[in-house]
Amino acid sequence: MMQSLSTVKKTSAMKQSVLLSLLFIFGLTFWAGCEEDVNPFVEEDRYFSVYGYLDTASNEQLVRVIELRTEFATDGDESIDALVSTTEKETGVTTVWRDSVVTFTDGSIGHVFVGNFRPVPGLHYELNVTRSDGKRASATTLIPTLQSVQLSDPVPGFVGVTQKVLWPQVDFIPFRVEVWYRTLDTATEGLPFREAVVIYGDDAGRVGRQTANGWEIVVRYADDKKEVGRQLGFGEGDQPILMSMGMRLTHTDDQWRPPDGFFAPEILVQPGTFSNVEGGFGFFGSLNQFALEWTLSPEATRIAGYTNPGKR
Amino acid sequence: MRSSFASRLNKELFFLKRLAKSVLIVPMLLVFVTAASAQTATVRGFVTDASDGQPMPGVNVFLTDVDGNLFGSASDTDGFYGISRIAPGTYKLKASFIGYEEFEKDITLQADEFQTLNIEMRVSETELGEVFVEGARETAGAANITAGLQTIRPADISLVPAPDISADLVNYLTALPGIVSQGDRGGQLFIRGGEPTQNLVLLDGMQIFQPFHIVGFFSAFPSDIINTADVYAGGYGGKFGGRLSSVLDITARTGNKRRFVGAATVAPFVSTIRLEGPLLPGKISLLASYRQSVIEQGASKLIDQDLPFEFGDIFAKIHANLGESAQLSVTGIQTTDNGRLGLDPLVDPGPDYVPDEVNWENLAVGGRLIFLPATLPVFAELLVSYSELKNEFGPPGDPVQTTNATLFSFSSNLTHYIGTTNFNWGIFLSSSKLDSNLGGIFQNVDLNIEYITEVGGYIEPEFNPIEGLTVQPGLRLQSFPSKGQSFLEPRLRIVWNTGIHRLSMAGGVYHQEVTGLNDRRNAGDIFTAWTAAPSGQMPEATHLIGGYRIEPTNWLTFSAEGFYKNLQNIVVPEWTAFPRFTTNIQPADGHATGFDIRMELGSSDKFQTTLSWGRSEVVYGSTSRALQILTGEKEVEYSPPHDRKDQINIMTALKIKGFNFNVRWQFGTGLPFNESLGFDRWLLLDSLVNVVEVPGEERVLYGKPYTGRLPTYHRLDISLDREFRIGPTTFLTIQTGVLNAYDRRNLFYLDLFTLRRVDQLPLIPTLGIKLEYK
Repeated sequence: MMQSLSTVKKTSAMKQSVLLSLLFIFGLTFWAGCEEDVNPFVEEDRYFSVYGYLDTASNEQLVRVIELRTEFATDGDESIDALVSTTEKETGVTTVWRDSVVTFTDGSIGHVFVGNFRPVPGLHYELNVTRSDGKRASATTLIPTLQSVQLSDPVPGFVGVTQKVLWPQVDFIPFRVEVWYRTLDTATEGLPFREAVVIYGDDAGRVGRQTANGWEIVVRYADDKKEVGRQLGFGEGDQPILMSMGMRLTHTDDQWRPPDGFFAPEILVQPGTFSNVEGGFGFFGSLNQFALEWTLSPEATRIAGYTNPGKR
Repeated sequence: MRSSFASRLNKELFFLKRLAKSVLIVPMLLVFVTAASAQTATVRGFVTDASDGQPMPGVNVFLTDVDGNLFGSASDTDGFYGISRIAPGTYKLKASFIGYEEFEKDITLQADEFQTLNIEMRVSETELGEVFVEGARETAGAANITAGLQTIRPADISLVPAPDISADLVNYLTALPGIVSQGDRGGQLFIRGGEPTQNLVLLDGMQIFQPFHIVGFFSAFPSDIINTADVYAGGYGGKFGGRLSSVLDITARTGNKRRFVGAATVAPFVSTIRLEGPLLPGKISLLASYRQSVIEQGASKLIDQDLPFEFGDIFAKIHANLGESAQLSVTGIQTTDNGRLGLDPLVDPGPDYVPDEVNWENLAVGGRLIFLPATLPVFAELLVSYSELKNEFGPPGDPVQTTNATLFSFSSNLTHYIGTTNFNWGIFLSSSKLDSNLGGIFQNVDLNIEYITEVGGYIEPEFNPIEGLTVQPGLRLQSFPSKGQSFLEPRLRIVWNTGIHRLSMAGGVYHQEVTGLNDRRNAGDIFTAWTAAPSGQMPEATHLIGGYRIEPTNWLTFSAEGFYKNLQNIVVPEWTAFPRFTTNIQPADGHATGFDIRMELGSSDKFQTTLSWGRSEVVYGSTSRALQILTGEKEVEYSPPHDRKDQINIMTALKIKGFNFNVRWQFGTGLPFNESLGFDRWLLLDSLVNVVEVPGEERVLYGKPYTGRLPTYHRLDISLDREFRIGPTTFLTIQTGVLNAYDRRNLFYLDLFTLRRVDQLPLIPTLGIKLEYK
């Protein structure tokens, strides 16, 4: 009799639990189904997008700061809740940047912060963009340094003299390659030295190429002379006096490398594919200019279409 | 240039010759096999309803010999039945169907005789005949699914509450588990993970490119014109091909061959006129239907909301009995749709804002000849059809995206009846012209006018080794001479009926060369560009389905079915953080897995309830470079925007004192969408960019694709109708009801840029009137 009562109790408890389960499932479904609104935004600890770089060639550093927002295509706001500073990690020196409101050509308003200092090669700089509530985005860059450069001997050939310059530490296409030619113009009073700067573009491969030993750039004197003549007003048959020449290469820090080695907008536009900003998006990098100056032998100068200063 | 053309032509001719040889082997073999079955007899014919001359599917036809042995067959969609390899002698032939008087006739069969005996069934004066009810139950019922195949009849469709008094096929389809719809607008159906363009929709053998109207309650096929609709949610046989996901094979009714009848309806969404009757009494009939939306004058005023949709369709079918053993039908359909679905986030919706509109037009014309050769136990079908689709999207009068697809198709299907084996085989030839202008929507796709020729054949014997077991292995050869590509597609279908149980399985490999391109990132743009497979690799699918059904009593049916679809070489739009509607397409693979559970209670027309639950998971794998970089994974898996995990449908139909009361509740878990962190501006630092001068581009801060889920979808629809006799053969039906009875704000479209939302239809009361002359 006791057993039977226990069985009845068990059955009743089972029925109850099944009923409760069904009610729970129904309630859950009903509760889940009641939600009508949708919030398309997810919360993450990201607050700003930052775009800019430190340039060793300038005393004025610029960085664009954009607040992340949930409104689409706004024209921008005159004010921004952001405090921007950089800290030189090795020395602890902190610089506070000032805001400048910029109206762009498309009518939108943006905030470009200005830091008045010249970065030092080989040092780390941490950029902090801080909101009044303490929320922060940050990024760090190491100003690139140059350790060595190798200059090959000029080689006379069918297309004139060529000369290779090898930058062993450079592992990515430089943002800018300039070759300058310093000439002596005795006819011009007070300004005997005149310089022409030839910019090596990417289109004809003149910006150089990656080799196993570093970044190799070939100076093609005959090609450059046309541009030098154009800039300095020489005729085609003229042989200006070439005092010296040199190459300046603008190079980026190690982080400034797009995935796959290409700046492909369709890929890089995807948030996070090319960013070093913590607590936000964008990129904060640094640039340095590396330079090498040299002179040509009298023979090479002649073949290159110039006059050697020693034979005036 | 000329030699290149000649060489291609030669290649195609060589290819066709080789194909013709291999295909001709099949009939030669069959003639041999048929000859070997001499000294037996065959009886076959068509079963029709005596009252209107229409074919009756599902009628059981039996021969009984003097010893009481039974030989039987059930009529198919055309009303055709065939019983072969019968010993010569005298038999009693009986045919029965629920609600009809039993047909009975003594026949004598001679050796080698092919006797054609057409049967006319008369409606029973008393109520139901009690025998052979099974035939009727075989071809209807929401839980009656067999290895992915579900047959739908107009009676099934009428159980679903609809905004129109004449029910529509699409309302029933959306009540089936595993079929995901975009909702009240758009007319897009996703069947067990497949995209709408991966569904093959046939009406009397003619392909309909865009078979659903812009308002989600309506297909191009009013239920009044439907005889049967076979929905293959996967695992379809060798007769069908060219699509990856599913087949919807609709057979239209034939018109009344005895007298003229018709109907006219008026309802808030659509008005309809149907007319049918004999052009030559007893021989040739016409069935014509015309529907036109009246939303602006009806539903829009009822809810005081702009519903910018307009659609219509016109259908006609002429059917002729060419003697005892042949029938010919000619069918034509034209549909038109026009409407505005979405919002352009880049345009300020000011007073002068005119949103883009989408419109499309289907046209299909086809002929179908079925005949029974006098000296062979064969059922033969010849189909010829022409289909066309024009689809446009863009500013009214100045569309930027256009597509024009045409298809000419010829096919022949034959069934040899060899004892207990039905040997099915056929050949097909089709030629498509596809001309699309994408308006730059997919930047890496440059479409030209494409001409695609497709030829092939299939064999699919149906063995019945033991009672209740049907094994149907198949092989389909699909060839594209211009591309020099051929595919062999194995198919298999097994059904085992044992007592109250039915076990079934189906599977196969499928390819799709003519592909539809959509931008699923934008629910408001349902423009579909039809083109050849743009990735250069033929999209391929593999299906596997296994199911179980039990019918313990005649008022309870339960079924469960699991499925797996593997998709290869499909193309999907690449999402981009640029806020624009142009992007690239990218190749992707995917799979869909899931199961359906269905239960049907009640078998009489007094009460019927259907409960179903479908659970599925659709996963696409993308090798988009941006995603690879973002995640560090070689292939990034995500749920595409049609991945509805769970669906529940409850339908109840009740008949009391002549009133029909229908209720349907649908529930679906939320569809995936792209969440974002918000917006910023993006600058490409690829050079010495001066950040003071470059404004940057607006950007959406997407992460991984489709990580969010929209709110759940659910809705209750109710309808009540009653038919009144107002004359000897004239009836008036009044229907009232309410759609979305508790006014659920179901989301159709959320513009992620402006957060503007477009909801599905709110609570709508409906009132419809139908005047019918029967």
